[in-house]
Amino acid sequence: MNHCLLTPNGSIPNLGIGIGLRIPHYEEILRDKPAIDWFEIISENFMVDGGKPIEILQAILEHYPVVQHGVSLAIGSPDPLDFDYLKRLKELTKVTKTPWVSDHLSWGRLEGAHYHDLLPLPYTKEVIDYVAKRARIVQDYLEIPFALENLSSYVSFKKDEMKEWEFYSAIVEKADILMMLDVNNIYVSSINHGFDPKEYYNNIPLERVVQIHLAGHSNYGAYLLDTHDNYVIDEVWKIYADVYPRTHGVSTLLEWDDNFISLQETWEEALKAKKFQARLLS
Amino acid sequence: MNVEHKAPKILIEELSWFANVISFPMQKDHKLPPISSSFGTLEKMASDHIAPSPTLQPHQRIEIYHQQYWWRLLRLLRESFPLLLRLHGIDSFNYEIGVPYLARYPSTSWSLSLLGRHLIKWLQEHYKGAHASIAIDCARIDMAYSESMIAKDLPPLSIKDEEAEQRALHDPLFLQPSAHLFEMEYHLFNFRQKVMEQASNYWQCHPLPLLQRNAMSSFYVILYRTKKSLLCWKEISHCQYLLLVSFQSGMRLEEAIAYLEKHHLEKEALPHLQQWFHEWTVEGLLSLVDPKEKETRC
Repeated sequence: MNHCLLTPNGSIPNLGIGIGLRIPHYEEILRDKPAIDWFEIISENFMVDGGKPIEILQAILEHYPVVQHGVSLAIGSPDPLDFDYLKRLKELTKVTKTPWVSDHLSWGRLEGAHYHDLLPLPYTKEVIDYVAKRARIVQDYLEIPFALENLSSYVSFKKDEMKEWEFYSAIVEKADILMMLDVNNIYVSSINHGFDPKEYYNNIPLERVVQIHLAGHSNYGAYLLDTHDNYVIDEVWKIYADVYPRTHGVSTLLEWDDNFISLQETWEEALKAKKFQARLLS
Repeated sequence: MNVEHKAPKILIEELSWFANVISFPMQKDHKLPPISSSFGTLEKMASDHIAPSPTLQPHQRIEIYHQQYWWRLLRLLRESFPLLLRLHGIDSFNYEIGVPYLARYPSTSWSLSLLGRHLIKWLQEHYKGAHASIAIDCARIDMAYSESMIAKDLPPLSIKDEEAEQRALHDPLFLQPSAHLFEMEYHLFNFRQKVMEQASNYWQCHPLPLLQRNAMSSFYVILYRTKKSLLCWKEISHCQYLLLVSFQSGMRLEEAIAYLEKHHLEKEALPHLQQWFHEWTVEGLLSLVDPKEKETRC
């Protein structure tokens, strides 16, 4: 499926099915060059001065498309945007030639301290205006399409004025940016907050989705934790099956970040997405 | 284009509260203690900011973030200081070093590689365990491994380039930023190599390897990154150590030899100089480029 998402900056290709590029798989990927459509990298892992990470990235880029996904932008932080960080991020985009860049609709920085986590925001109109303006600045500065990802979250603020999907939709539309839709995060949050996942994805502008994330999570009984260390559960595949055709076919990526399985097993898990994509083709 | 916008008051207030709670030092039971008696109980304080879920009370929900914050940062710190971890074991490392260190020096960079940048200073000021100087040297070595892995590459001095060879005789020479030099009372690199063969749990019920000590003089070691981006260490002589130290901040060959003369080591060094320079050049350890001038960011 070679659908292209049209954006103000041109068209964005559907790269097919990819997996996150992670250290335990480096050796096998570089040795065997498996037929994986594309890799997603955590941008910050490669925003270094030199050494092994840069060497690995260069070798990967010779054989595969690479898309950058960040964790430290802190788009919702009250602190000013960190342009030293953005400069390095932009420099990396020139190396990877990533067709888009994504990060999370979160905050992880306050008064200069970094919390190294994807922390949730209060869903208010004022916060929408604030975050949307910053997201627009980021996209303009990077000069490539920018997407924000929905979180798995474990709290909601008493001062919330709306549902998460209303907040998320308003920001991407106001900023005129893209969505990186994590369907596992929709499921995890639906259990943790007690909403119907359908209500979430039936009420967001799916035409803005540039990429879908799939992942596994952990069930702690009273809540689910987004751990990326397990297989994708059936309920999450059901959400993917519903959402994917309505995006008209976008790049799909499996995240697996802990309790690693082999590269082959990771790729087989990601390839399960093909079964659901076939519905769009038919 | 880059006009900054003022954050809404509600955002500052809610996030400040959130940040204070999740970064409050973790206790051994992993529970979030009452933050301050002036705020009332945690239950009351959390219920002012957080809504309950179908299964959890507000304070239980914020506790998830508190645990995630500490577990993540402690894991990263353990990964950055694997030798120090093995000397202490996980619990002791977490609660005697990790938690008080991170409470004193919270992360101020997006880069996780900088999380432990103040740990040596903190250990010097606060470490209460036995053999403090050894523990601090172990931390220095761990830190050097982390830094060396991602340090910038300077264009190495080439022995095949005649012009560069001539320049090397007159211009300042610089040591690659990925190279770290150590002068130690104990041979901690040999020790580290043996300790790293086992996980930290193993060393909680087995005696640590014996530490080799040279009563007559110090041990001198260089840790460096090879051209294949592998980290290696090797023992060097006192003369080699002094020469390489002088190149860390940039020095002409002539000045470096004068520096050795000051230490009355020139007679010992001169017969080996050519061989040392050949080895260092083959290993790509020297450069004619000042690391402060060269920007090689990706």
